[in-house]
Amino acid sequence: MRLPKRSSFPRSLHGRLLALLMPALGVLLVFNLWCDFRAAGEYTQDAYDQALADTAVALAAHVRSRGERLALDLSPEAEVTLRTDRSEDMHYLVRGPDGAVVAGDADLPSAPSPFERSPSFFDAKYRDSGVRVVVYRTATPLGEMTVQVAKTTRRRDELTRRFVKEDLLQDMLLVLATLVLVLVGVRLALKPLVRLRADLEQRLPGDLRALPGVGVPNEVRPLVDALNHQLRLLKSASEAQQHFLANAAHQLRTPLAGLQTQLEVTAQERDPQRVREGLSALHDAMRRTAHLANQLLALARAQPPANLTQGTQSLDLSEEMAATASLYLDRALANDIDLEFETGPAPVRASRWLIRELGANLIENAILYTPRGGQVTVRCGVNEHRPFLEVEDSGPGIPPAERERVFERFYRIPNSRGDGSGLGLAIVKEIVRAHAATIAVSEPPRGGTRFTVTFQAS
Amino acid sequence: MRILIVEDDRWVAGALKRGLERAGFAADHLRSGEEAEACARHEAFDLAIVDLGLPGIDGLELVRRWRHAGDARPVLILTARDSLNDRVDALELGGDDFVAKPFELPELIARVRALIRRSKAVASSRLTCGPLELDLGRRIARLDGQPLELRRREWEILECLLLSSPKMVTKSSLVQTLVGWGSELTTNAVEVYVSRLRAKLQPAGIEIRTIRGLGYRLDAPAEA
Repeated sequence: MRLPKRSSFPRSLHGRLLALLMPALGVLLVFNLWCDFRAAGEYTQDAYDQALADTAVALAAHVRSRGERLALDLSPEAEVTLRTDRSEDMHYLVRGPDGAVVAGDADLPSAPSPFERSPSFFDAKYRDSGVRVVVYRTATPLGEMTVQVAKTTRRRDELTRRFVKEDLLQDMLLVLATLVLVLVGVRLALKPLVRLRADLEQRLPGDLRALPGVGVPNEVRPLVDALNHQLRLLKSASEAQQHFLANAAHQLRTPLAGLQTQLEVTAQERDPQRVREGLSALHDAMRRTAHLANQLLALARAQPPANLTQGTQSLDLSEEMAATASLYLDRALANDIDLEFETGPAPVRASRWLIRELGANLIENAILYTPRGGQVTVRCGVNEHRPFLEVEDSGPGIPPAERERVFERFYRIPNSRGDGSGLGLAIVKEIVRAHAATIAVSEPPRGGTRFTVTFQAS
Repeated sequence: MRILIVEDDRWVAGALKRGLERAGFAADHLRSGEEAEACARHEAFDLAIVDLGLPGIDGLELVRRWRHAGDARPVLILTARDSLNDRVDALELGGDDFVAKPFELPELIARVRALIRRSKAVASSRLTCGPLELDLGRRIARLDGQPLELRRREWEILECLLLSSPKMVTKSSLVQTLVGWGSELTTNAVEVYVSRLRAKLQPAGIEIRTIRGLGYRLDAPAEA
């Protein structure tokens, strides 16, 4: 659900429910009141009108014709009875067929429009009070006469007022009860979430156990499942990290121990020739340790998520190889290896740092495992629209069974020469993966090993 | 040749100072960017080696201030290996070259020599490399003090290699440098000139190494 961006929108679920419910409940309340008011009004109106019509009919019965004129034959007692009500005032008016007043209050308002039906009713104002008027037409020997009876509506209005007041009170009580129920209901429904929060808050920083799924409502379960999935990923990543760290510490400690022993032995040496040899060995060990530290760092930076911070750019593999070739030449000269480049344009989109690491590790690896007098060839170019980088050596080759394992961290082929860190090809693999490229190990026709990294077509 | 070392690690600085002195340089050591900035105004030195991770003013800021003040003396940046961006910054802000820690002393000294050689060439139009000396103004070459006969293209190639050393020069960039001479030049021709140069320089211990398939690199004779 997308929430409104307005800052005034309440942040708590309680607040939100209230903010959504209150206007709706208010509208419902008003609608209900109006309906009730109308129903009650119609009901009292009907009873009222009925009594009024009865009075008009009764009054009409007292009209007699005397010769050419009509006259109301109402005894004073009867008139008093008629006019007096406990709470209302009563007025009447009788008109002959010619419209002349036969009896009653001549100023009683006449119907606003001629009525079809008889009796008809209308509301009017008379002597400063609201009145309900009935108009009743009936035939006489002299023609049709009209009897009008008016009655004040005090009681009716009073009734309606009282009714509305009571109704409003009831409805408001209902609304209040609804709100209380909503709040209590929300609190109860949120209890599993509160429990989850408490569970998470009480955890130690490294605790990556799955959250309990018991008693979690169906609506919240996807959230818990997603969290647990994330926790599982974190846990396996953290375990891999732990494993790597332990391994790295071990790998670093070994050459450091060697250095220390070598140093102690050399310090006690008296023969200058042997001191020189010791120092040379120390230098070698030192160089290897520094290389290992660099490789560990490179591996850490080549794998996700650190490699995401390495921005990519448009590069040409041949230019990158040329830029770093001088470095490899030294290594090759020192190992009496014939280093050759067969490079053609190979445009890729990649991280420059990682691409140079990729080349460096493949070439150094080749130089390291190739016997003196051997050959290492670096090729790059485009094959079937896909840029590739290839490093081939004339070394002993990698048995097919070992070709997968050589990419594992700290793995060394049993009984192989060379004293690499065991990380070079692991770094290569991470870089290949970071660029969505592929790497293949094969044996060239003249023997040795060939690593081919193929990039995505650009 | 006087070299200023700005490095807060006493161990590294001490070893560097001794190494440089043994290679025939005079070396001074300062521990902070603040001292180095003040010192640069009145002290004469030919090159500065600046560590990036200095306390207070860091190496980048120091180089930036020097360049801002119009100081064009070459600066070699020392950087721990973990930050590529730092290296890029270092060169953009006026560093002339960088060496990653941990470094090999001979490589560092080769870089120092190359930087000084280039800055002196600009100042005095003289390029030297061990026993080899090129007077760019008068176009005279000397090897071990003896005049060395060089053809025009041999001269151009040698100058190119010498300016880049200890870095490699690709064959294609050599061709491009020489193409200005009006006639077409093939890579085969470059190979011929290089082999002639090699024959002339090898007796003095100067090597022109081939990186097969890519180009050449001029290596000065190893010095104690």
